[in-house]
Amino acid sequence: MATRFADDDDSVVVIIGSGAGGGTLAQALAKKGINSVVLEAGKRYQMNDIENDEWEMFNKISWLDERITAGPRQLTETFPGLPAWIVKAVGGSTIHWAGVSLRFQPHEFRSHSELGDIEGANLLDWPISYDDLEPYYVKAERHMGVTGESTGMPYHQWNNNFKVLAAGAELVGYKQLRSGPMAVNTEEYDERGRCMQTDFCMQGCRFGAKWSTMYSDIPRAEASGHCEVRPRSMALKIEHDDKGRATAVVYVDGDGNQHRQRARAVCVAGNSIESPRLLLNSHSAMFPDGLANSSGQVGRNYMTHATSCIFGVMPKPVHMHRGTTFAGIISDEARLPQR
Amino acid sequence: MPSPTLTTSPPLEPLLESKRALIADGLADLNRRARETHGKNYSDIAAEADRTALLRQIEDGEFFQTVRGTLVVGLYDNSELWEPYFGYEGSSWEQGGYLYRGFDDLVIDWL
Repeated sequence: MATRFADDDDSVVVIIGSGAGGGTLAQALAKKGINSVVLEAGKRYQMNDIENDEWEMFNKISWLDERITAGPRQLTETFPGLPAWIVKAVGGSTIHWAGVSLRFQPHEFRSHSELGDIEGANLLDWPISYDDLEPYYVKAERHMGVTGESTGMPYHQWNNNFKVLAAGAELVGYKQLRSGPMAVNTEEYDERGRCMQTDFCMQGCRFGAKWSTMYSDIPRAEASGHCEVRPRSMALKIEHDDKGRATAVVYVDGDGNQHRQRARAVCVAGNSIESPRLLLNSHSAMFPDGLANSSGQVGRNYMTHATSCIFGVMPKPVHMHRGTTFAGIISDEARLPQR
Repeated sequence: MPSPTLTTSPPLEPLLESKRALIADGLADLNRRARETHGKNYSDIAAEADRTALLRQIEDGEFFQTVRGTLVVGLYDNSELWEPYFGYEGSSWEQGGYLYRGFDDLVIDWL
């Protein structure tokens, strides 16, 4: 029998979103015996809903609600109705990702010091250094099962796709060629099997070899009896008391009915668009500019996950679909600009 | 190149239902341009370069972009074309992926 908490139970932590942030937190709280209610806007899918078909999966799991775009031409003209390709499902965007799990490099914590002012950008140094964060990288990598030193799992064998890329890279003089780190098991780890090198696994791993809260953290949190996940539950507004502390979340269920779940604390983990949107929509007399927005920066400085793709026709068949989508990394250019 | 007989409907067919006027006007416009330049309908122009030159004139318009977008998706989403035209072997989880079926079988002696 799945755990159910009452709407007026104010002893629960309400977590909005079930992906990398929310799903992980639900399981971490459950381990400590702390009850949580996870409000997830999307549906719940099973392992047998995962197909090796990019288009089918796109239509199944993507966040397709209408969104407006503003800003650079590349974004507004190329994808006017789909500014961010994120997931609307239990498991969130940990279903749709390549598994590439790179750390920031030390200089990236000091972007402003290293690069100076950049016109049109709002650049700052991080208030922490690489050394401060390093132990947490190790913790996260062990949690997700990232190949490499933290887990002891070897990097993946090079698949055909990466062999071709690496051969070309070596010819132009690049040295840093790696098939990891990836949060995709190369051997059994954390009660999940190893990568079977399927095709189109970015849209979901049928075997559960790639880390996703969909089949790791979320079901474990639920099995503990300390977590209730409510799919198709879209958070509308966070309410607070006269001290400014969050007390409840108003949400709408899949049938369009509104509910108010009381909470001892609220965690907002709804990805880059929905999180600031919810905070701004939660404005009140005490917080006219929205919650957690004393800086005025909520909803600004949106940084898209920029990618560029290059495709090439090779002299002989490569079978580029065989194996993990992002098979390797060439990182010679991931460095500060030469002065 | 093999030429498979399609059992599914061509990808452009739904467009004719949903945007009939756009398609009809677009085709009429393309034929008008073809007759002005070559004295014949677009599909009767033999040289691909000549046809491409005409398409360049309209490539930013709604008609061309609509047809193009529909064709790109329809072409690559048509499972009957995957193997014969693109060498794509289709869904693989049913067969245990490619771990034991050649994910790293490439010997590159051609670079």
